Amino acid sequence: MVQLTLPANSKVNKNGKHYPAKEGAEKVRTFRVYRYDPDQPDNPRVDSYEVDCSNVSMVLDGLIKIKNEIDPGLAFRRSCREGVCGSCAFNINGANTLACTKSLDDLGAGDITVYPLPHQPVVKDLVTDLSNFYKQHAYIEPFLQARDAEPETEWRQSPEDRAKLDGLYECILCACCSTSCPSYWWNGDEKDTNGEGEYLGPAALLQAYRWLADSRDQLTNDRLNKLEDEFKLYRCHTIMNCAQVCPKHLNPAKAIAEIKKMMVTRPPANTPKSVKAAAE
Amino acid sequence: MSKKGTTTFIIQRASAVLLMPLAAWLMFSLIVYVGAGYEAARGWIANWVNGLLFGAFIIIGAWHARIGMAEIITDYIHSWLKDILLFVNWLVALCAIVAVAWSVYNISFAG
Ligand code: SF4
Ligand code: SF4
Ligand code: FES
Repeated sequence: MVQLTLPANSKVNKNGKHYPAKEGAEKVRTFRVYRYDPDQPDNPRVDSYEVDCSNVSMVLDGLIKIKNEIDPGLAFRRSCREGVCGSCAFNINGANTLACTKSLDDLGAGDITVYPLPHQPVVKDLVTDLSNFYKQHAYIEPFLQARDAEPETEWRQSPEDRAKLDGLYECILCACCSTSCPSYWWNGDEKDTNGEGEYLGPAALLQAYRWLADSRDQLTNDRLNKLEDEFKLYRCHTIMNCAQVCPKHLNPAKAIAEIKKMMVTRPPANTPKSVKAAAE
Repeated sequence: MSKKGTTTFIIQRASAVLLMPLAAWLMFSLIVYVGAGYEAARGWIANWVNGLLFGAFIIIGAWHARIGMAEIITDYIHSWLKDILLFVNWLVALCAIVAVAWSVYNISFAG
C-alpha cells in the first residue's frame, strides 16, 4: 500500500534549535534546515539559522556559511558548486533543485527551507541514500552497445544525428526529477516476487531514451524489451513534475513519451512475446 | 508480471479515440430527447443504428474505464488486496458489457 503518512520515526519533532544572528549582521535571512542524526534516538528536527547574507548569493553559499561559521555538524553533499556535478540537490522552499544554482533572490523575502530530496532514505541531515536511483541508472545500460565489429577509428555520427541527443545528454543525475515524481514515490522501489514491479523514474528513463535515440547504438530492440512491463516505463502518467523541476531544463516526460512511441510503433515481430514464440 | 504494458497502453489510447465521436453522438442524441419519456427513449434504442452505437459506447467505455481503474489500483495498492481489486474491477466491467449487450440485443434486434 502506498505510504500516505510518514513512518513514526520520520516525523519531524518540535525540538529544532534556533541560532540567532550575530550582532551587527546585515541582510539577515533565516534558513530552516532539516536535521537528522542516525546515531541519536531522536526523530528529525528542523533547525533555524539566522544568517548574514550580505555576501551570500546562492542557497549553497548559505549552507556552506552555516557549516563554516555556525554549525559544523550540518551534513550535505556538494562539489562543483556550479550546477554540473548534481551533488547538491535538495528540496528548497518546497521544490527540488540544486542549491548551488538557486539564488536567494529567486526565493522571495521569507524563510528559506531546505529539506532532503523527498521519499528517499535519509543518511544524515540533507544527505540521502541514492543507491536505488543509481541502480536504476545502471539497469538501462547507459553506454554505447553495438553488434558490428568495432571500427578502426571511431563510431561515426552525422551532425544531424548528434543533434538528436541535445536535451538528453546534459543530465547530471541530480535526482531532482525522480524524487519529485509521485509515481516514483509510490512505485520507485516496489518489488513483487518476480523482482519486477518497479518504476524506473524519469532520470533513468531519460537516459534510456538518450541511448535509444543514439544513431550509433544497435541494441534498440533489446533496450525496449528491458522496459516492457507494466511498471518500468508505464507508471509514468505524464504528471510533468520532472520537467518542472529539472535544474538543467530538460524534459524527461517528453523522453518518456518518445519511448512509448517507439514501443507502439516497433514491428510486432520484435516484441518479447514474438521473439519468445519464435524461439519455441 | 506479464509483459503487456504496451498492449494495455494501445488499447487505452485507441478506446479513448473511439469514445470521442461516440460521446459526441450520444450527447447530441440526449439533447434532442430531453424531456421525452421512457417510450421515446426505448423507441430510440430500438432503431438498430442507435442500439449499435449505444452498445459500442458502453462496451468501449467500460473497457476504457476498467483500464483506468486498474492503473489506479496498480499505482496505489501493493498488497495482496491488489489482485482481488483488479479481479473485481474486471468483473464489474464485464458485467456492464454483458448487461448492455443483452439489453441492446433484446431492444434493437430481437424485439
Ligand atoms: S533530468 Fe534533470 S532533474 Fe533529472 S536527474 Fe537529470 S538533470 Fe537532474
Ligand atoms: S511525467 Fe512521468 S516521470 Fe515526470 S513526474 Fe510525471 S509521472 Fe513522473
Ligand atoms: S555542487 Fe555541483 S551541482 Fe551543486
